Amino acid sequence: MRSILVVDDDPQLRRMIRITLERAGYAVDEAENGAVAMHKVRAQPPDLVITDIVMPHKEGIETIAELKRDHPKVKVIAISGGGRIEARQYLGVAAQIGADKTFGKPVERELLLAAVEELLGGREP
Amino acid sequence: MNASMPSSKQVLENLSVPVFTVSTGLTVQVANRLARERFGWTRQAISQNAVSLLSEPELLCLEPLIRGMFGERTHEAGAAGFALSLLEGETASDAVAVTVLDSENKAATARRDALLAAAIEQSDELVLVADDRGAVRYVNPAYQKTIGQPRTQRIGRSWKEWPGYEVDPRRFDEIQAAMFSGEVWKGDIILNGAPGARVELKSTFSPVRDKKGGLTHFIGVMRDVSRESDLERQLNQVQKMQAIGTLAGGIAHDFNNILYSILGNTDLTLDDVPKDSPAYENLQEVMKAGRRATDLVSQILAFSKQNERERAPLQLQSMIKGALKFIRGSLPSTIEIRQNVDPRCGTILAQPSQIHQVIVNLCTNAYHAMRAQGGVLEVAVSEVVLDEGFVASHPGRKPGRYAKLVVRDTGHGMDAVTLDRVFEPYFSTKEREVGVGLGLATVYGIVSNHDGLIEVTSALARGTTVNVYFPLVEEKKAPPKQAPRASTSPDRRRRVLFVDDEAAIVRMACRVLERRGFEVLAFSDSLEAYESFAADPTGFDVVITDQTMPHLTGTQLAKKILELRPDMPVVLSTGFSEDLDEQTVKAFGIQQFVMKPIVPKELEKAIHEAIDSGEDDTSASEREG
Repeated sequence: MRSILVVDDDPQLRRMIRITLERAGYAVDEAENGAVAMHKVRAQPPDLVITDIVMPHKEGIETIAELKRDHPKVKVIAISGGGRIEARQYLGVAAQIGADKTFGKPVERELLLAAVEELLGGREP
Repeated sequence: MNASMPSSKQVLENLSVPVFTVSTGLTVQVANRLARERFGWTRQAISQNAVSLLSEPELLCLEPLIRGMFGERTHEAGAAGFALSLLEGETASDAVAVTVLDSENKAATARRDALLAAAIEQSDELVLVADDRGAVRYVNPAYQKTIGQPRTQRIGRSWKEWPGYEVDPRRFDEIQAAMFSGEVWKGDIILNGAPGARVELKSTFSPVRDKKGGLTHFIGVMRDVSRESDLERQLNQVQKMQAIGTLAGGIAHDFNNILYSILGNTDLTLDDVPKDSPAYENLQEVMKAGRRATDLVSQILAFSKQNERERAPLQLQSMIKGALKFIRGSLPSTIEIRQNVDPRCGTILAQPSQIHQVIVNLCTNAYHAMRAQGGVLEVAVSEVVLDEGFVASHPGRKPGRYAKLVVRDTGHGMDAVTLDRVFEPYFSTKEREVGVGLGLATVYGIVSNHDGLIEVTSALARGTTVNVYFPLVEEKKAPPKQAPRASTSPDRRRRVLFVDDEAAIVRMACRVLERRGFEVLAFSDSLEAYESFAADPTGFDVVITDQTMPHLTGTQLAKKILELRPDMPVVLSTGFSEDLDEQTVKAFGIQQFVMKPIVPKELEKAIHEAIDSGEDDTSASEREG
């Protein structure tokens, strides 16, 4: 089963995204910030990391940069609720740093699942 | 009579005040020395009954008084500078004795009176004197200017009449009651005139009473504070808009998270309920509402002051064409479009899509105002110079050359109450389907972002005019002479030392900064960065460093760099969980900090601010030195 790590400091969102992905047949783990996420990735790299950008301890851009440096095979989707200046401000940076897909929150479920499928090469049976 | 005692004639003659008597025929009968000197009378003329009271201009004012005393047998009376008493003759006919008071200062008194009169006449404050019946006895030119009616026409009329204006009659009753009870009244009188002509008078009314305490007159002194009040209202408006902008920017991020949770969970629940159940339908409504809320958040963000993008030099006149083309299709033929565009208008620095939005929003509003009746939509562009007085009510704006955009309609217009609130987000007079009330608020946000000014004037049934001013780009002049310093040379590219332990971030920063014209030397190791700096401390214009790094942290690196070059501008980038606030950072001698995640625009801004503040410090110390 393809594994996905969901990184967001909002526990409600983590739960919701986890359930969404589990129902689509993925194995999902959660992390509340970039530091915890990197710890989990080092122990057991997932196939995909879906990460928020603005988080305490280790924000998303740094997390993506580190992921892409140390674990280039792990795919990354960045999602953000908006920046200090404008709604999509961080997503362009995330893409430059190496995020494979970016979305502004809220993301439509179908869009997110389609992106996950594309990155992970289709759902597993 | 004792011979050693002076005669009463002697006493009179030598009195130190001028005294004379007047007969019923108003001729001077007796006058002492001071009186004769004062008025230039001779003993001979007096003895020949040849001196009439009426021949002396200064005494003319006494005539009615004296006649009155004879007629009504008043024993004593007073007038400015004179005391009068009736001498009832037992054998001879009656006479009135006149004592001239304060004779030495008479001229001075007259001068002072003239001065006071001039002060009242020339005062900017409105002065009104009315008698106890409320009939106007005097108004000054300031009053005439406000009322716009010759003041002679006001004399004798009721003080409650303010031609051309409506005043709350309760104010008059209050004032009149205060006057009769002998109290001073202070308060505001609002004159409501034609639309837009509202006068606010800060007023003081004081009673004038006679010796018995009866009201003889009352005096109103009123200051026109309309302009001050307007300025105050505009300032409040500006502050309110800024507060809303800040709030919107601050909550949008959290709001999106919340909406995502609502939408996502609703979507999940849709899987769990049968498609033909009422619950399914209701949940779909939740989804719809959530999506609407999402749109709204992005609109608020667009309105938010913080929403800045890249700007480019552009000309309003060329934007007008495109925008009008865009909306023309949606306008009915009952609306005529007139363009009055001056092709010579100068260049502004703006974000084209935002300017497009300003024009389209204003024209759309104009169209909505004329939808029922049709009318004329006028769009004009010209170049204007705004002076100190004009920009005074717009904090932070500078006088100078501006491009002026006018959008005028002949639609239904707005009343003053509506006009006051047009820039508030969500304030709308339109039906829900037409708009959510962010149109003008968005325009306001964009104009403010561009350091512009906006003014709306409107009259019911006559239409609305919106004037928008954008500052023109001034032609670049040579920068002021400064002590030559390698880093301030305009010909040399600014050299940046960039330090972040994350190689990908370093690469991105290099790309971004180089594209923006900087020369970048970047390191992912803070020690290597320091060694490179130490080898050539004058070779850099600014240092940008991450805080959390192995070897040297950002603040440690900054400290070592500042030991080598105390004037070095340093920008620190930190995540929001790190215990560094702006003050702590400044205490390390670091000019600027940027919050991570770093975005190019903020980075560039921080660099410029750090370099600028470094140069300011230097030039200040050079001046002092």
